[in-house]
Amino acid sequence: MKYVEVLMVEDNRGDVVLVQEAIQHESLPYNMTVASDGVEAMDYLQRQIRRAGAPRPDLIILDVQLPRKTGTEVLAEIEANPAFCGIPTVIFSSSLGPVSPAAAGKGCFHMHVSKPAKFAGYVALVRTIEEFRKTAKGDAKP
Amino acid sequence: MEDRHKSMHRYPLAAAAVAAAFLVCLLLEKAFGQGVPVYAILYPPVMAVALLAGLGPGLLAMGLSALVAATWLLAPDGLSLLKTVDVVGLGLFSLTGIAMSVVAANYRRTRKDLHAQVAERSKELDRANAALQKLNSDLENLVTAKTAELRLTNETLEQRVAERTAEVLAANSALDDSRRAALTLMDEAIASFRKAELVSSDLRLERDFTSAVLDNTGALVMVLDQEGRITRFNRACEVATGYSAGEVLGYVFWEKLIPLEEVTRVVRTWTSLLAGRFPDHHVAHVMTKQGAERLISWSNTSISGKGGSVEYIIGTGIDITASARAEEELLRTAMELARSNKDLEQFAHVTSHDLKEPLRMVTGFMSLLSERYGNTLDKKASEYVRFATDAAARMQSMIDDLLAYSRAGQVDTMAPTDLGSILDSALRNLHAAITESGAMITRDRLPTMIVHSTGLVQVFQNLVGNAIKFRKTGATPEIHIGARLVTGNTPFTAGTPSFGGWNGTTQPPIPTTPDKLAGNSPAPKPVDGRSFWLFSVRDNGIGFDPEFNEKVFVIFQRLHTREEYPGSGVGLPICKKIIERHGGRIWVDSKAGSGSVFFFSLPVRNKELV
Repeated sequence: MKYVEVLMVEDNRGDVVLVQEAIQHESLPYNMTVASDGVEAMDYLQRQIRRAGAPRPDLIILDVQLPRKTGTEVLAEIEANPAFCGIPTVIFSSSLGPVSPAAAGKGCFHMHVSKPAKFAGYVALVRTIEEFRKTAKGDAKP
Repeated sequence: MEDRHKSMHRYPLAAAAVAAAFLVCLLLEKAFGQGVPVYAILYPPVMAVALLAGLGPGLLAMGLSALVAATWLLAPDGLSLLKTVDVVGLGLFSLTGIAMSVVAANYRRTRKDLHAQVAERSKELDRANAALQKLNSDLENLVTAKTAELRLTNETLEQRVAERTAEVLAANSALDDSRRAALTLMDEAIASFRKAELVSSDLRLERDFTSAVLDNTGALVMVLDQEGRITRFNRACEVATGYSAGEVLGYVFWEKLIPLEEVTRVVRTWTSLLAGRFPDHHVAHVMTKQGAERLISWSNTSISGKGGSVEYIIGTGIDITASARAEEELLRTAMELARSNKDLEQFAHVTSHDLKEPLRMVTGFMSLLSERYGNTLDKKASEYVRFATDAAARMQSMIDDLLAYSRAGQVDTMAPTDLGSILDSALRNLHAAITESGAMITRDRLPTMIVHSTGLVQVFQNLVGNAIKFRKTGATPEIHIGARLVTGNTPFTAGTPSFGGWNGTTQPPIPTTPDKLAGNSPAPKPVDGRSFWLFSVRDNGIGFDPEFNEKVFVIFQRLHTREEYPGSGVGLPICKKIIERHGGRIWVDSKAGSGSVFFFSLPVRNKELV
């Protein structure tokens, strides 16, 4: 069974655990790498490109509020780079309002979700993310 | 024996003296014997002769003495028997006698010279005395002459003084006459003045009255002539400018009192005043004596002369420095307050977001705990998990409310809106509660005003929602929404007729006189004729004690337990915030067990149709 490579950019350890628990609950074949801030996330992505044969993430789960480099800035860099633009990206906002409109669109695959409160919410969220990933993957095929 | 006076026969005298001395010598020789040098007796006569008769007789006397001595005394036996020692002695005797004669003769001559000098001096002195005497006599003559002259002058003067005195006396008497005449004239003048005064007493009273009014009025009153010179400057002017009237009278108004940068403008106003164009009023600074500027609002009147031209301009001014300053201060305070409120809102907004994050974690893991380990937990542990979960949920809702409160009244566009339709929206949102409680809702006709529609929907929704929520058990909630226009001229009486629609059978009308309202929570009153709409939401619910009238508008303040009535206590604070954002006020009149009336006012803006 082929694993889905997931990059989760999240500084809140609790959210990481809850998402992982939900993934486990849903028995999804996700192999998750965690970056705890924007700078770390971009370093990881650049490294993956340079290293031939290294797995490119199939999905990015990106928190908006991050130390050093915010999720909005990371999103802008992903959109600006054709190598990353195709990666389905889930923007994980904590209901602080929508991400700036400039960051949306441009033909990349984005989905904005707000962080749930209860565990059941996380389970539902993970299901939604998986749906989105499948759709984006299907769309990406010419 | 030689005391004979000198005579023209000096030489015989000399011989006589020598003969006398020779006789004395002979007598002495007879008495004492030979060998005694008696010839020494011959010296005195020689000396005496030299002194008295001069050198010649002296030398003669000496020669005779030497002969006598040589012949009869030293060598009576003849000259040839004369011993050597006697010859030497005789020589010495002669030399001594000659020297004595010379000395005596010199002395005599000297004395004679002295005598002659003394005589000469005496003569000179006599001459000087004579001259002095003459001078004295001349002086005396002069003094006498002058004295005579002076006496004459004195007499003339005296005469003239006498003449003048006579003249003055005459003049005085003439003056007396004129003074008497003048006094008479003055009496007449005073009499006529008194008469005139009596006649003009009314006028004077009027003038005093005017002066008193001018000096006691708080307004600045200044009268200027055609040239702009100050001719009248009342007490208020003095107080405002620091100048006394005396210091400015006669000065051109704008040169003395107007700050340099405003002079041009004031002169322009002045010119149009003279031309008869009267600006309603104008505002200008005046420079006080101390150099401060005061802002004066002037209005002007002119007084025209017979020819119709302007003679005087009367300026009446009010010192608006303090009020202008206060206005400025107020504006600044308001701006500061607005900024501070905004900061606070921002703070509440951000804080509630930050609070939400950890709370989400608590909720998330609590639910994960019960999901994953629910079966293995015992009854107590499950209960604890539930407590924690409930508390987190409550906190969640409080944070949501806080967020809602911080967002409430945030500026969205104000637009003319029919408040009736706003109330409709609010009632629609409350549909479930209304249906469930069976509430009866009545309303007055509501106006159209410029408002934030979402905010007003929220206000009506919260007020009506509360009226339903705090209903009496077993009674049908009856709610009336009233609206009434209060203008500057309308006496303010909250209550009827706005609440006329209310059928007060179950509840007596709540007395809502202005005084009572003011006592609890100051009700707005029309200021400067400004009008406002007064809205009310009246219910027949449980009410509350008036002591909580203020407290119910404070965030998170609750009057009941959460079990009795859910809610976190932000509904009314949100209403207050929204209404205050509209420039209105909100307050309540309530009584425990007798229902409540919530009032709020919204000021009428100029553009609004009333």
